[in-house]
Amino acid sequence: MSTSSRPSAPAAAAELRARVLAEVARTPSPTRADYKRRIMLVAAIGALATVSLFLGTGGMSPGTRPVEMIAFTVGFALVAAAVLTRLSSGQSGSMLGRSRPLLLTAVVVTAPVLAVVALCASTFWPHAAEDHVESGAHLACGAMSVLQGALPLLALLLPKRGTDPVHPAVTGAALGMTAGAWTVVMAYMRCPHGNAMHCIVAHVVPTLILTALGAGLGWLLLRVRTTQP
Amino acid sequence: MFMLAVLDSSGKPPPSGLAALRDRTLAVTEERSRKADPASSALDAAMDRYARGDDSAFGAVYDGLAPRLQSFLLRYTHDRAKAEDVVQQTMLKIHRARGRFTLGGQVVPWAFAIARRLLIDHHRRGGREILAPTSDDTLTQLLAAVDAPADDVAIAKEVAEHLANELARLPENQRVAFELIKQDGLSVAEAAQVLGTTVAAVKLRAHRAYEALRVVLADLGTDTKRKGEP
Repeated sequence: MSTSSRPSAPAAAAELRARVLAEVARTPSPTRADYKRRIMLVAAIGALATVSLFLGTGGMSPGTRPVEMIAFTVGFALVAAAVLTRLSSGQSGSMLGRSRPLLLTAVVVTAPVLAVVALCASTFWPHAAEDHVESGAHLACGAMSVLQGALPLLALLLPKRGTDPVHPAVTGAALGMTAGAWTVVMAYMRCPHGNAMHCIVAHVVPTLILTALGAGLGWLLLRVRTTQP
Repeated sequence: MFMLAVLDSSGKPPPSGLAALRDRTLAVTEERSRKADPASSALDAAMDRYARGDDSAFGAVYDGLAPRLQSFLLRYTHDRAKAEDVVQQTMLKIHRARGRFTLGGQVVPWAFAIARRLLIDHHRRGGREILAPTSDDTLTQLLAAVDAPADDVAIAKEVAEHLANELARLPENQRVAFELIKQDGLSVAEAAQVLGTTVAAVKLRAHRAYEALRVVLADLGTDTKRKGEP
């Protein structure tokens, strides 16, 4: 900074203040109440679209699985989905969300936990787990899981556009895993197969695909960018 | 919190269960925050008013944040126009996202994180004039203002140059943690939020930076003694 420019610093600061306040007055922004209404609307539309897709693709289908097995697998997946939703989308008391290590831990731990739940279910109810599943069924069920997870992923990502200045890809990955966990809940309700291998390949592996998708979309959509003049 | 105290003293039954726990936690958090840094708490309160729809509160938010942000950005850009540009964009992003500001949230780490990200984004888009931070300008201004003997000024300048060089050599994560805490006046918890990591990680990074700078100071002390020997 040159000596000659120093005296103009307060004037420049005042000019900047006036410019910013004028711009703020010119472009109104949503208040907290407005924002909450928008979030509720997006969440309702996302949930409605997801449930419609679930019902439109066959809905509940227990097959030969006992009710206890369905309750066990759906229950664990539901708990995982609820915890992840709270962790990745809930209020953390900070404007910058949860810390990177916490989100990464949640992302890394969830898929193995869901796989262990599938293995436990096949151990507790061996008769239901013995059914033979064609490899084509793995692929179709997995594709359906990814498709069903895309809607909740978008519903979770869109309200947070341009709001993460710290770790947008990690937040996106956590949101992807959250959408994946909700997909596992639906998969255990709609898929008639109790085979452990099928549950891992067609229900749990798609959560990893949704996590990768979430990380990519998070980087694209969530990060704070310079506004071009 | 004041509202809660009024309600309690008015004879109404206190909230029970989870609501009571939440209220107590919020009260303790607010109390700690207020004790820790009254200026930051006043800023958070102003931002909260702004988020609720009080448009006049933005002036207070701007006045509390802009000088600190500008000082932070000037250290990296060495260009007042560029720093002002990023300050303007940061304040406008805060304005546009005011609805997201949660009750009990902290505006200072949020603003620093946005400014830091915009600075990095600006650099990636071709703002090559952004340099590694040095304190030469500040040092020159400071030394000019100090009425000290010429020898002392020369030694102080040499020490400061060595420290600045060492700081520039540190890994980025250590340097940024050190600067946010020591030069921008953020608490360790606030710096952890800005960097998206844990408090323990920031403490470790800042400690390593302190240790590196302490070694430089020790070496300089030894050199000075040697120079002073006959």
